[in-house]
Amino acid sequence: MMSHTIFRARIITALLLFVAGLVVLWEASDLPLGTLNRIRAGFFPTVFGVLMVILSVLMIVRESWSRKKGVDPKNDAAVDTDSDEGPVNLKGAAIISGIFVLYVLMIDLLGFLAASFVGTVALGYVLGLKNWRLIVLSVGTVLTIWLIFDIWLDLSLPRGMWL
Amino acid sequence: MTGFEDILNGFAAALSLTNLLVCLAGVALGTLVGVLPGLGPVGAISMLLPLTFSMDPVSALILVAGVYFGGMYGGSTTSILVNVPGEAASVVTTLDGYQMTKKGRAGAALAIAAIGSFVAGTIGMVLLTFLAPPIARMATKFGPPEYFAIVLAGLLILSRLTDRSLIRSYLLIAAGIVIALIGIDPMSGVPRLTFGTGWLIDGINFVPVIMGLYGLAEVIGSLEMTWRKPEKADLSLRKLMPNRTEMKRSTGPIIRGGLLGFLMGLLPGPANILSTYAAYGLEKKLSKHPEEFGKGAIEGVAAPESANNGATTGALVPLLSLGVPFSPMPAILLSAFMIQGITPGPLMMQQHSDLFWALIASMYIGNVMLLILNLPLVGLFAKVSHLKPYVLMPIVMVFCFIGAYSVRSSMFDVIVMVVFGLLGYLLRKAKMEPSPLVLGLLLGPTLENSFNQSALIFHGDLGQFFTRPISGTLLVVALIITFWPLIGRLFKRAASRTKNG
Repeated sequence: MMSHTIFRARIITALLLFVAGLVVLWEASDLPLGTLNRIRAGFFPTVFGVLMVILSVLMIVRESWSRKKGVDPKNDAAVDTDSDEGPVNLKGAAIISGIFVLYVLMIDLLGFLAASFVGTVALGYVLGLKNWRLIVLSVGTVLTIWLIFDIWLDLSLPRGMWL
Repeated sequence: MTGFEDILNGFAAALSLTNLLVCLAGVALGTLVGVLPGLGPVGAISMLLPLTFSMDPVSALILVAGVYFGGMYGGSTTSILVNVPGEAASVVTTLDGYQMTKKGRAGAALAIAAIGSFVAGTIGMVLLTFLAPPIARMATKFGPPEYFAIVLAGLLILSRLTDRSLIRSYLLIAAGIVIALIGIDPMSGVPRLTFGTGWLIDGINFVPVIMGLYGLAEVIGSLEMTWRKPEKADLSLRKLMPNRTEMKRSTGPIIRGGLLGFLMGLLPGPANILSTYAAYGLEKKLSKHPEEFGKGAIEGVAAPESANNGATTGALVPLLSLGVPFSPMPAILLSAFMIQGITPGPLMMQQHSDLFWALIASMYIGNVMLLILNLPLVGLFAKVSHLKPYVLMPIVMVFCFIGAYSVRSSMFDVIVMVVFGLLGYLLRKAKMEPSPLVLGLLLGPTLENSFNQSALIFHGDLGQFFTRPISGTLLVVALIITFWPLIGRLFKRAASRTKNG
């Protein structure tokens, strides 16, 4: 199960970077390449765009070949061992990502502080925090960032459409 | 004796009341961050960067350096008490640390981790004090070809060290470099890869990228985190003292781990993680009781905890002397320098020598503070490990958002962070380390500028890279390391052919 997830995630990564490589090449096609005597703006984007395309194809081929050969992707991974080996929760990850999008949209509408309150309540609730604890955490977090960033550091955080 | 005077002046600046308080706040925050599972020091420092905006450069850098070192100390606490590492550099510590807790020796394990971190940190700082200035002096003579060779060699060596697949590492490096190319071309002033939009004209700042990959990615995966109740351990000061045998068995591993970590820290890649595996493996090989490893051997705690601290210090050598960060941790430190308008590297020691030595002095002081903090307050820090993700993660999210926004007061940076948070989550699921992408992004501009300038100097004859002693040697070493498995296989085949006549 775990190996299947790793394989799928690697293929998705390679496909994403393949598409990104093609987009880079398309965007760089308007730029001049120059010569080795005088390298122009398009040289590096073209070289690395080509590399991205080739390497992502190679990655897809290699991962598929390893899977066919029965190599466990866990044994063929980065040396940084991920300590978190819990079950994959794609639905949860999607909900949390949705909260991020909502948070970004609300910053323009309500301002940073109000949006942070709503974001904290939403994420805390999704993660299992309920009742007064949720309110205390959200109010406490917003109060802290207001004191640190607005009052102490005097950062001009977005105020929203209404202020 | 200018060097000695410089160090003394550095201590005088670092020992001012403000800087001492800032240092204490930094190391305490760092330790807390290290203790908290799910939030690594890279994500934490990037979140704290806005706090340094209004500080003077010396205090700002002392604060960030404190968090940098504190993170390595705190990581072991949950590894030992809960079997959940506070950060990736403490994964190895769980193997024997948790077993020691089960045997009622949690206090000794925590104390050895703290003592090991202190000794290794001090060894590393002494080496840093004496190594960084001469390297920086030498680097003032480097031209674009040397910088190109250093960066290219760094990226190639990094690929060999980070992942078992070179293809995956190279792909992430290429993606990082492409991201770095977005914006105005510094040579011609032409906008590149901007898709005609104004948003991308200023390029992609690396702080939101790092925040996304290392901070927000953790939040996305927070519903998958496993939370374990910490074991009840007696952490009174009396119980913290390791006995004589434990001290004797730990001395060698601490010194070897510290030195090995420092040397690995000089290399590109996440050395603070890799060195823990190397030090653990080395001690297991050298031990008279290898069978005890994994069952609560004190060497299994002493070696990795010393190694990650040694590596953390070693990683500062390329940053401070060459201005080139070789892993995400010094990279985020680099951003703290840049926020203050200071570029680390050979010229920093001439133009801001007071700041450089104050920073070095504060590291010594911070290291002592960490030891003092960690021994008596270990019980308090252990309590932090009771914090469940639902309390921590919403706070991390808000700090990430505010941190990303405040770097350039731009909502676009917040969006960039969210995108890289998603990518970071995907990379975690793919078991791919994001540091090649980060280093590609960070080193991409240096790679391009130094290559373009070198090509101009060489009139297009790129073979001249190999005729200059430093760039030639570095490139040959990098090529050997890259093709080592292939070379090794050829040697083996030749040897077996000779054997068979």
